[in-house]
Amino acid sequence: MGFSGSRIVESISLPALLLLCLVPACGAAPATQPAAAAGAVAGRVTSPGEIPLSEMVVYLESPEPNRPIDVPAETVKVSQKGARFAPAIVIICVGQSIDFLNDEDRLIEHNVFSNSAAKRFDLGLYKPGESRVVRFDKAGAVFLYCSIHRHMDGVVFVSPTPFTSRVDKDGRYKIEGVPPGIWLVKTWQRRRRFPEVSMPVLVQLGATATTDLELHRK
Amino acid sequence: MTRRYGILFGLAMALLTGCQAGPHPGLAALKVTARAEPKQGVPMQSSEVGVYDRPASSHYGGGGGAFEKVDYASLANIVVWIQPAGATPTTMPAGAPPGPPVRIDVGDKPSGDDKVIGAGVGQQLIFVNRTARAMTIYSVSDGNDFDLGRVPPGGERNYVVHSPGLIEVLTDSSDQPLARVYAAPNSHVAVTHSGGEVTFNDLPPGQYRVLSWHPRLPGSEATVDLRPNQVQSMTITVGVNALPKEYPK
Repeated sequence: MGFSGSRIVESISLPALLLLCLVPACGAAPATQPAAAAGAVAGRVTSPGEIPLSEMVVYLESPEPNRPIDVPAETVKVSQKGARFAPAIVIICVGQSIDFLNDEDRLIEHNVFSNSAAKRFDLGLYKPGESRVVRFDKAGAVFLYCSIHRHMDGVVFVSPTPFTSRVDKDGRYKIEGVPPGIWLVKTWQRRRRFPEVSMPVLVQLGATATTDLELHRK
Repeated sequence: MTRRYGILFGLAMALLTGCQAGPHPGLAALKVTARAEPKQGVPMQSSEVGVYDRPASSHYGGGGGAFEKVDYASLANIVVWIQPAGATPTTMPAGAPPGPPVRIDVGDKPSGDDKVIGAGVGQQLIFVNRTARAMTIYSVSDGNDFDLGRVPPGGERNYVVHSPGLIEVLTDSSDQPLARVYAAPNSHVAVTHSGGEVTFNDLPPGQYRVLSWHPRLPGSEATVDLRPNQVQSMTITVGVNALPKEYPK
């Protein structure tokens, strides 16, 4: 996906990585499978410093750029009520759409827009009860604002795959239903305080691969 | 008394002369007015809010509350800069040295979301720890990642801007940036507000790109031909109107 600023954590040696690449399952499985035919990735994200991690997502990316991904058909709803986006942070997969609904209970118009590299758009002015649907075709963070209301902001994290997990307050994450094979485990922070990390992992049928991620300033 | 008036007159004349000074012979000047444009069809708003908004005001520690509107008439933090047309992003206009060092006082309250500081590539940022305790100062911004280590109270650390773009200056003890610096490719950069004017003086004549950036609203770009011995004026905007429209026309 090539988020700028991301770095590969070299905690897996090159021979180990080569060994991973020789596993027959590599790239063979389609990228959405029922839980019974899948594995999982779980672990903990840690960082130095005095304060907890900011809102963070751990997601999987295929090292094979052309691996087919089954995009969830669901259109995700994001409402605007009380001059706030709800939810204020949304995780979707590339190719998914979001329905932006003006859900105000008074006659308040909104003008949702984004100027992010992953998606630039202007939804125009729309009244309560009206909505606009946007499809997101590029992975990355899309920061949302309203051109009218000063404090309205939200973010859509567009993952390259549907395999994502919000990191909890203790830094733990778990991604289930992952097709066997080699994946890259990656991080994304809503407010980036550390360089993002990327680590290869081998997912095996019916097993949970543990991948702890350590964030550093440098 | 007369002497005092004389001094005041002299100062006033000096100021006026400074304001009216055009470019040196053979060079050019450009006066740029920044303007924040609301969405087409929406009147220029003040930050006033309707009565329905009052209960929400506590969410933001006072002010207008959740429904507070963007104040386009005086929107702050508009960064304006120029660069020679056709040049690579890090090329400075001929003869333009890096700007003078920029001192950034780091206090107890993060100010990164309130104020943007302008700087150019090659310019030195001097961070001064104004708190009573040591703090780590660092950045992970693309092209400008640095770690200045623990800075004692009153201590200073320097960083020379390496790449253009937004630099968020961070510390371990806050998830809010200590400061936000927008780095232009060269020292011809200024931060102003909607309606504010910026003058770039003594520029080699030629074609320039004039660009704007804002933390929230999309910036814009225009091209201008600067002629020797002239001061040209133009307006640059920030606003949503040039974004791709994803709604029924």
